[in-house]
Amino acid sequence: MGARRTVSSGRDYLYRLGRYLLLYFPEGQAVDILTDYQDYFLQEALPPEESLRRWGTPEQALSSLLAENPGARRYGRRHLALWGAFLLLVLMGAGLSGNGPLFALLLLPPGLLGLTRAFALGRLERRLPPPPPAGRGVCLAHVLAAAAVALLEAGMQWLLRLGPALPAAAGGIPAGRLLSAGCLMLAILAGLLLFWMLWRMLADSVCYLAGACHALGVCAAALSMRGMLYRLASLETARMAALGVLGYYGTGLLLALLCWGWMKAGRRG
Amino acid sequence: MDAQLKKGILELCLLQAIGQGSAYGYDVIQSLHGFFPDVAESTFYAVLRRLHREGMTETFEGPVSKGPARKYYRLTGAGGERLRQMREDWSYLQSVTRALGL
Repeated sequence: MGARRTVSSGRDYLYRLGRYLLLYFPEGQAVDILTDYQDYFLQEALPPEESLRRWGTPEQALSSLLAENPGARRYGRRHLALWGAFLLLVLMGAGLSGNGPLFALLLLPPGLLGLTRAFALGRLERRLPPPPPAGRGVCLAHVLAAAAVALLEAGMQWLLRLGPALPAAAGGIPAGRLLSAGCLMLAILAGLLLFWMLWRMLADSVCYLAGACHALGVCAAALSMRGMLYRLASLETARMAALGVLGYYGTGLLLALLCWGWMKAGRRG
Repeated sequence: MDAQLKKGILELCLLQAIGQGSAYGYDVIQSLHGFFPDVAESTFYAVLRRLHREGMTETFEGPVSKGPARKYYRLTGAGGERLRQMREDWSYLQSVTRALGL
């Protein structure tokens, strides 16, 4: 059942156990089992070492629970996560090329299943005491991601003003090509980060949705900027693409903010 | 104590404790753990969950003034019937052991 790790707090123990439970049990049953553990931990106010001594690691506790329930089967979470991530990327690409409906029909069901799973985790997390507040690093990452999108948006607006008069770089390399390569690199990096964030969202917490939105925003902005470099002749199309990124990114962040509020509102003491 | 014997007794004790009225799971486990200190608390919970899975108990969340809601157990009709049957079996066993001079 994976590597044995120590636990940093009772909440950490419960959350890890809850994640495992959701892999094998229906949500209602998982919550039911977890409530027994939570009641016990709250009443005894055990330090993490004592919890481990009495109950074993979350992995060992899960093994015992599986032994009690031989009918429990593992859900294909990895498949769901990969399909969910793939869906988002393909939809993004299909949206740009205009082949959206077919891909959406093919990929929507597994994508929705992935999201359903992520929200089941969210509902479980809401029952636990709140986690420690985010550190400065997390806040800085949010600010940097938003700044990166803002910078790309500003770059696009600047390019729109220049239009076909985009200046050539020194040394005979067209500035447009250099910018295009930079945008592609950034889009690939943001795409990888998006995969990672989606994976963490399904494996750890729906709170990673905000990170996924940032990554998607940077990725989309970089791809839009790259696309604009080839479409500067048609300023109207380019202008719409530039504004579209802000719309998608803003909507995504709004959703993430709503999720955060939903998680905060439902916390059990 | 023999594991099989203990398993049956734990089930009877849990049903009896819950059968006395709506019971907070943690309190039930703690009171029984006092009588069976060598039995791990996780074992009690395992039996409690099995009884619940078999439809012998039902759970509900009781309100508390502060902190999270607590999980309470109560017997279902089937649970009450199982308890009655087990009590009869237990009485019969007691009479047998007494007759044998144990």
